[in-house]
Amino acid sequence: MRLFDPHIHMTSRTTADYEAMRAAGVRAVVEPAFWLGQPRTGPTSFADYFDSLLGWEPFRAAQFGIQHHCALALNPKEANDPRCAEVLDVLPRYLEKDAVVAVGEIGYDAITPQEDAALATQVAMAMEHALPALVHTPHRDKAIGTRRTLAVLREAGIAPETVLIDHLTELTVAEVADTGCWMGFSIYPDTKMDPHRMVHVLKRYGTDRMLVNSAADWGRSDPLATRRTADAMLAAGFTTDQVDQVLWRNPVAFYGQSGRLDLPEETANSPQESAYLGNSVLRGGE
Amino acid sequence: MNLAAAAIAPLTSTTDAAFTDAAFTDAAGTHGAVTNAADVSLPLLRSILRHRLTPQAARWLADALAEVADDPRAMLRRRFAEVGRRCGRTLLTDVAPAQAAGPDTRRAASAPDVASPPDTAPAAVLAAVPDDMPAAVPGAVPAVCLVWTVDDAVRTLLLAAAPAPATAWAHWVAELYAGGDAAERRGVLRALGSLGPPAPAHPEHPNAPNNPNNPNDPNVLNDLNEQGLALVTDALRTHDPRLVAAALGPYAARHLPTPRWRHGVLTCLHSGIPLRAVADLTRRADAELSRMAAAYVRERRSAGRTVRADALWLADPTPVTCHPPPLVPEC
Repeated sequence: MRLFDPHIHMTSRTTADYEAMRAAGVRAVVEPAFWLGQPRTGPTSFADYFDSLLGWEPFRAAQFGIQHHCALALNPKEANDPRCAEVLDVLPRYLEKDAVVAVGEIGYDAITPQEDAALATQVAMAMEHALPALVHTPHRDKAIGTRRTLAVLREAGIAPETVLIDHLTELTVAEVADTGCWMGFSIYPDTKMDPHRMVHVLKRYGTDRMLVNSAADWGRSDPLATRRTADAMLAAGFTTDQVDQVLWRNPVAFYGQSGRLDLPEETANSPQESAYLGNSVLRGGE
Repeated sequence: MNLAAAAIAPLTSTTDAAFTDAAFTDAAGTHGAVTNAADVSLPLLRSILRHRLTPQAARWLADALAEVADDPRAMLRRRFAEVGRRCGRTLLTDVAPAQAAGPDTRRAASAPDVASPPDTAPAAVLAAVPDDMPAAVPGAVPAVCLVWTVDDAVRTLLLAAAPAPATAWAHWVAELYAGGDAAERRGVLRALGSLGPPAPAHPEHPNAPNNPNNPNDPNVLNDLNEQGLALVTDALRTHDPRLVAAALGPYAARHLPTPRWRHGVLTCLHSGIPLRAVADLTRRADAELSRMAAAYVRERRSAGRTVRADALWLADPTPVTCHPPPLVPEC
């Protein structure tokens, strides 16, 4: 089983977690930039964080044969702090880096005018840099936040197939299903989704444009949640091909739109897929 | 053995006692505690500290207050940082000297007066502690989310002692918060309510021209409000329930604009902080906050998860009642 965790905050995890993820089948991850428990106070904190996502984390991951990519952005919560907003000036430079496969997480937290501005600015950056956008839906007042997010995206004119709307639930998936955007679900203890409920959503809405992630971070979370969901799908009667679609091919197809995915040769299921998923087409035809 | 003192004693060595029924009943139920939601005056803090500080701590505080008044630039940061190890970090309960005597003789009734002439603790503030307040929440937040601590009170007095010509308070609160550890930041947030000005007529227009510190200079008040709101907003961005709760005390109830205040309340629901920590909740709760709470309840239920009773209370279509949030943690 090959697994791709399309949203995990490895900065907050130990190297032993990488080892366990590898053993569970995880071969690739995307780490989106987000908030820490402690608010940052200026753009240099972000620069150090971005450098870590581009340097230290890929190194740690590679030790266990896991390919680490990242998505970079000013997160919605800290978009409300004027001291941090300057990071938007340095972000375009970072968005050109090889390992950056999306702009994210962007979206809403408390749904403020400052968050409106940061979201619109960064959606424009995604379009400018030909990157997909990873959009976080808020924990508080999620339905309203999701609706507003979709409206902003429509207004910006970004192609829906380049947008992943994340942290969806049974209550918000329907609204996104018809938009053409990709649908992300975080399997996270006590908040967000669990494997059992995820299986029900997949039964109802199918496996197309569906992504499942652990969103593991510094909270009570589980870096093996992708594997647990895969096992729950199989137990519920989904085929291995459907599991592979949701937990490998879908994230590869979504982030592959960046042209910068660089996946290990060993993860290809066939020579043909190797040419497509591996080191040629998606990396710009080298 | 004095049972009351024995009940309090275990808490004296605990920095962040987990919030449990037992701890809270002992601390608050028996003696009354200064709650996060209560409007706390400087005289009340002085009065309670007289009972709570050891003679040694009281002497340290008297010296520190004099030093800070004399040279805040040199002394405030330093004294502010060491308050916990000098004066203790126990929950701030109104322990009478007679009750404090017993095995724990450190809290002697002979502690010298640390500040002004004797005050009578305003019963109204301590009465803000509901008899039935203890509400253990699974994944308990620390008790300091709901109750002031001795070091919070001492820090408030230190801030109040700093001379405040022109924009000094705004300067000091910003400086101490930015350079503070979590306890110092909590101390600043709690002090805001006691140092801050009276409530404006409308929270949306917080800069009402009324300043007890320097009534002739509305700029002082404007600066304090602006700075205080920046700190409250920063604290609400943390994921530290001690800071989130302290940020939602009386200062936020008076001055935080409604949209931000509502999200602060929702943050409590999402982070396990009992809604009783929120100052003035019954007055400020409105239909929009009810709608948000109802959405939260619906989301929890659709996920097959338990729902906190105070969330249900807030989600009720008629939330603005005279009743405090209920106690049963889950249903």
